[in-house]
Amino acid sequence: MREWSAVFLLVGAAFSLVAGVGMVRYRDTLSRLHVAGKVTTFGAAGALLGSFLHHGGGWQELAILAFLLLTTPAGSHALARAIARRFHDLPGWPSSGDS
Amino acid sequence: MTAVALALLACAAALCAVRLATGPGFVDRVVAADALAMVLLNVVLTAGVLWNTRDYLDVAVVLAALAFVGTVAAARFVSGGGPLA
Repeated sequence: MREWSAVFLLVGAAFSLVAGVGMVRYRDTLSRLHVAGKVTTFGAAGALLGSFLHHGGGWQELAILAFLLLTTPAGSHALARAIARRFHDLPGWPSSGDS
Repeated sequence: MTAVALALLACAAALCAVRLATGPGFVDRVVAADALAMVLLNVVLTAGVLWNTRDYLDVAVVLAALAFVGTVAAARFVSGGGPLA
């Protein structure tokens, strides 16, 4: 179980490194948003699974993983939507109509 | 084995910090800060495995929550007339 923990930790760290390379090498804001939304989530998932296996279970890692899988696409979508609305000169969020 | 993972994560954090420092626009810096928060979450979990403690999982929970709240707050700021580029 411990060696699988090390494997998952290394895979997560490698994906985080890929995300860092993509953050520097991608040229567009939306492309970098694509990197920050997907690859870092996968790296964090690898580290969470490694920690889960190393500590022999536990609800906290699974809770963090579920939280990340729910909130990271929501945050990326919020940023992309804000960029698109400003870029196409559309009105803002429905609940902030006065700004 | 965790030392190798921490070295990879240090390189990833340095690259994200480069984009955070030299991002041409506000949204680029927000995206870089989001990615850096995810890398720091990875570092915290790897340190918890390295020192064989479960106490750092609370730090990981707070980091995940703060990254999401910060990203959504920045998105609202940009959408409401803040700096775009």
